[in-house]
Amino acid sequence: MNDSVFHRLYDEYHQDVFQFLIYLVKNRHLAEDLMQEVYIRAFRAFDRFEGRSSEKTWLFSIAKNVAIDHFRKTAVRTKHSMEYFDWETQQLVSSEKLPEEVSLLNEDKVFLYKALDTCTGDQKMVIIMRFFQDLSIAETAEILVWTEGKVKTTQHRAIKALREKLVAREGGDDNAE
Amino acid sequence: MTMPNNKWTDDSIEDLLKDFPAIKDGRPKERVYNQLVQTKPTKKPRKPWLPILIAALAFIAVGILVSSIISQNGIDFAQTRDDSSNAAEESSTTMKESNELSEAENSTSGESDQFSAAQVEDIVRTAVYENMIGDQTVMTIGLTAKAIVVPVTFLIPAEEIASDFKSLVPTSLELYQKYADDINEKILGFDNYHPYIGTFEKTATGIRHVLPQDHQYDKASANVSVYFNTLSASFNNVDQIEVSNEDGSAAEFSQIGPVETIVPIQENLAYYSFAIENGDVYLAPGYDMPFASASEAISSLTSSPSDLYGATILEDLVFQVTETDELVSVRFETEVDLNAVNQLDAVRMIESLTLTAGSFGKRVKVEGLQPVNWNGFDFSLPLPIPIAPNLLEWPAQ
Repeated sequence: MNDSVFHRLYDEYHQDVFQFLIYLVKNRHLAEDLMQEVYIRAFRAFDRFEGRSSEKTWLFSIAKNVAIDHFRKTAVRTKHSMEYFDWETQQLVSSEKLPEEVSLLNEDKVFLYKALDTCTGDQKMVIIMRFFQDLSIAETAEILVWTEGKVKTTQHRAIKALREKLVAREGGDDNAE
Repeated sequence: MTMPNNKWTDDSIEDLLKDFPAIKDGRPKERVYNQLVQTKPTKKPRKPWLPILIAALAFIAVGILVSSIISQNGIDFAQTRDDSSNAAEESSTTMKESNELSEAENSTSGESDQFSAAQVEDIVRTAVYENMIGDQTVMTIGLTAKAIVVPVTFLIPAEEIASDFKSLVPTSLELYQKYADDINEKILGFDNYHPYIGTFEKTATGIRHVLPQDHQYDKASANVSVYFNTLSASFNNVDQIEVSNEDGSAAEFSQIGPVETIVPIQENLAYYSFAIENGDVYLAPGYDMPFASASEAISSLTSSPSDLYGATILEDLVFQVTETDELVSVRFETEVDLNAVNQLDAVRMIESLTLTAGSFGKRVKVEGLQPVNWNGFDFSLPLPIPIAPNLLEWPAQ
């Protein structure tokens, strides 16, 4: 590992990537473990990083892969199933308690955050990237290796799904659409 | 308060989502770094090798050898625990007092760019870890004493490799052919076994050992076992080792008949303590005693499986073992104060756990060892798997 690479990646991206991971998996210790794995994979691949994407999207794409691997392993362990795990269509559910920072939020936000677990994996990922991480459509597309159109569509569907859940919670569907 | 339904528009939901708080990692930068340098990446083929070396660690090998080497290099082994500036102690404070993480961050933020290899100089290890390798080349060779095979590992400087080989990445066979004869096994306290008689050739699937007629490797069953296990240890990264006669026919050993192709054994083994005549202690895999599970292998470390192999778990310690697909959890029933036991024995105990679990492709999480951050180990996390056991100083004499 190259010390100077670590310092630079840490200084520029550590908190953003950590936040991305903890919003995905909820648990702080788990996010710390996954963050370590992100660095390890980044160092291993650093020589091959040729600047085809920005360093930021490159690191986020590693973090996304690390997180999906975690969800895949959890799915295999809990379901004792080696079936193919399709993160985009399945849910990225973490049974952990809410991060403390989220549990202190108002009930709408807590509900929204919990509702992400009931969205499909691609919707949860896009919401976290676009809104929690403030990544642009182009950046999100690059990280997920999607077209920008797919990011927009997924985001739209995610917001629609969240709205339906919010409305359903309140027992009325008159304004659902 | 909850908004009425007609407030749930795309915009209002997006506004809410945009208003989620930042969640910070409260760990100081150096703690992230220290955890990183002691973390072994997930399973990866052995080959030479990635960045940075912690030079001092290369000297911290085993027993008597250690002390003489250490004194030559200005590292005071005895002061390891007392050195208040060392990284382990620093991180043990931050770990134990997790509520004060933000304070720790404040107090260290000004120097966060300063830490480097020097911080881990005082850490004692007997095995080789990825972060110790830097641009050096790893050479593991199976030495033998009392018919037990011990894989020992050397880190050969890049300059030496560059001057001795055309390739910067020599194979284990090339390393063996160049250096095996230079390793003074007698001085290290082992039998004078290497180099093998006969010749070696590369094959499509590994290597072939071509034996002359008068070889002695099949003289007794113990000899055969030592032969196979030294080959396994020395050429652990080849797929297959064939053994043939000079005429190309497959070798036949008097004890076992035709020698089948050897697939180097590195998996499903337990690493026991093994003392040679001069008192040096090594971690030796029980090559001929594989286990069905990591839990069983680790449980076996509490007692001697034979007269020669010793338990690595410190006396009277009792633990429970559970395992998942990736992790072995070892929970000591009563807390163990590592500062109250011999440091090297404790390191060997911990590394026998990690090496044994590693031979099953798993990492180990240990509970019940105190302090939680000790000698560079962070017991709050799964421990890194060593790349290879029994680091010795190079050049080997």
